[in-house]
Amino acid sequence: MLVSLLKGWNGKILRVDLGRGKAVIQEYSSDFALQFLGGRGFAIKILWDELPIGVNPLSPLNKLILAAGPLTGLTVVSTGKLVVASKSPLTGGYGDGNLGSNAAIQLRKSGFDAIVIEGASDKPTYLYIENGKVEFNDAKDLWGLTTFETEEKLKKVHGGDCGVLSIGPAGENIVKFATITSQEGRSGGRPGMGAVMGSKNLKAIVLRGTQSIPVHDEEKLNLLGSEASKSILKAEGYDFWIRQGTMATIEWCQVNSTLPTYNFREGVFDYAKEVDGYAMESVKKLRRGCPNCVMTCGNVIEDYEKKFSELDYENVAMLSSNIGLGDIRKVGVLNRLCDELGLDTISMGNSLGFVMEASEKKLIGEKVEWGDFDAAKSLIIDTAYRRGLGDFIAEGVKRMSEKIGGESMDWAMHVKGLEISAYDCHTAPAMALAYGTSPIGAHHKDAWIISWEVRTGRFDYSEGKVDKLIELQRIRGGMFESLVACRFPWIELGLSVDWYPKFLEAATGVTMTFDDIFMVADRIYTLIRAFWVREYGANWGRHMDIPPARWFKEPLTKGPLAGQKLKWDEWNRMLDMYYDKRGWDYNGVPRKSTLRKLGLEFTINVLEGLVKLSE
Amino acid sequence: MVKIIALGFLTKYVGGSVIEVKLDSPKRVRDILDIPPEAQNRVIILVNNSPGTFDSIVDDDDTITIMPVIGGG
Repeated sequence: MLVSLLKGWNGKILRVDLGRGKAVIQEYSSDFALQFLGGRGFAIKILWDELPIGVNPLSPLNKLILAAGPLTGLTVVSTGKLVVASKSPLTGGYGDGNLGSNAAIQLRKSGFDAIVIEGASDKPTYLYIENGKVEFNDAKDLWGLTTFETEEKLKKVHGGDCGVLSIGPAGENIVKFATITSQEGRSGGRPGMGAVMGSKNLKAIVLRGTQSIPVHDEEKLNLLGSEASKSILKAEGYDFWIRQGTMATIEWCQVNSTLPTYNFREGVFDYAKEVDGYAMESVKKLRRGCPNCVMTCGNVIEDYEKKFSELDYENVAMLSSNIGLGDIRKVGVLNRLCDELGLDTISMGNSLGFVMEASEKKLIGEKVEWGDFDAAKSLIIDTAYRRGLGDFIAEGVKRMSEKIGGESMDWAMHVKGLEISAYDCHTAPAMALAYGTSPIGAHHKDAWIISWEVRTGRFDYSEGKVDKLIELQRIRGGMFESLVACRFPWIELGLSVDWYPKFLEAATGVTMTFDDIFMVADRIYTLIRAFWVREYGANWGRHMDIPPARWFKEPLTKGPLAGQKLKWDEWNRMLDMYYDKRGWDYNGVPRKSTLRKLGLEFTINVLEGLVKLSE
Repeated sequence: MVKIIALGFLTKYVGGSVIEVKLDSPKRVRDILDIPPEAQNRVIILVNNSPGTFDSIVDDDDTITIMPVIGGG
């Protein structure tokens, strides 16, 4: 059955071949929709099916997927998002990210649920896609521009109501953690999705759609969407959220000793008050957000250079405490530069912290001191253009540490090559497990469990924590990343997750219980894991899921939790429990019985040729 | 004196980020803090840096920290 018989999904994927300059429309089956839902689920199935094993992520054979979900573009709160995914040039495994953008809405209104971009253009190109018609346009005049400039120029040509996704100089120069950016600060694809776009000579994608998206029960969906919006607006803490958004997390992490400080050496920062939500409020100018959202999480400040910079917790923490910089307006400059140049702020902050520590320990010749704003600013620009030390930084902390060698690998803060998001884990064992088992490398979006750890007892390594982690991964990494809905209404303002199966039913006519949704989530997780194992082959092992040695070896020296560090044996027991509950073996490789149970039999023959599969 | 530290939106229920309250006798957290029922399931309570509840008993020299349940972005 074709998916067009269902509602909610458009049932079509647009396939764009940059090498041949051709595009075709592909219909997909309802089985595909029901087994993978959308977003991340669609992306991993397409990448598994279509990428040659071991493909170079920067070769024309790699594919870039843009995937919306069955709620995208509908009258449901905080669903103006899409997933960008590919084989990652940073990690060599599966990479994805989501970003809120009008491009997501326009993609769906163009009649598609996803775009698969394959091949590579022989010259700078941008795509203009309107209702299924694809133009391959010359981007010679755009090449070299920042993401802000690119979007402004393209909107002058194609109108302000179109959606634009673009890369900056970082993507053009194949910085391994270059992102795809939209709307001056909405970025996605931390594991180098911008570099994949750059490798294809693709500067931007412009989307416009005027079609209506098929909905099963529009009246009901509108009613549910309206009720959920009202519930958010009435939620306890909504006013404070509008004031500070995620920036309130600086103070929260400082109090809980989880604020990444000096390359994750410490969990508290002496100058936290200079960069927290209250400091941000003192220079705040306006709020911005994604389409279809009443939470508008982007806090825009006037930065040290009197330009606007959109801040949130992750980028501020990584570009302030983690590099020892205690001035919110200067942090704003670093953040804006990253957005303009198309650099991931989390990886950039990690990389700067790594270089500052390497400089302090005289492991590199260059002098880069903690908190040196001018040096940090220059290095961000040099990274985007791959100049001098910036060329070294552009490879990310894993490769930098492999080059420096020795003890530097203990404090290269990454898992699987992806730099760690802004939460120190000396005192958060389950969060360290969340980073270890995140399907793209060390990222927080799949499971942020620190709040639960603080509430229930942070120093134990219990089975309850493993269960909670898997529950969060199923909801956040499975349901939200495949419906491609923002998790903020739920996690920040308490909107019940029970709304989401109702939204899905009204949109598609498909009734799914949480058991059904979690089955989809487990299928997606295990297929992503199978992809990693396939790409790493004999080099895959348990070591791929282990967080940095720093958290096990070097205790905190400051704050109320000074002296604390992770316990190696206990943490590994949690990892064993995690694998067992997932149906994976000692090395984190899915068992055959698990693959069968999840409908992933098609992976067994492939994996058996590469690694030993347990029954 | 019991020291109360409040974060985020919870400061409005305490009247500031840090306050001190004199107790004549040990009391439950819920008898000291006036937080409406609809907000209570979104609150993390620590008593002397250990997990607590609205029913935890506190006395002079104890520190109560209340912070929102957040999702970490």
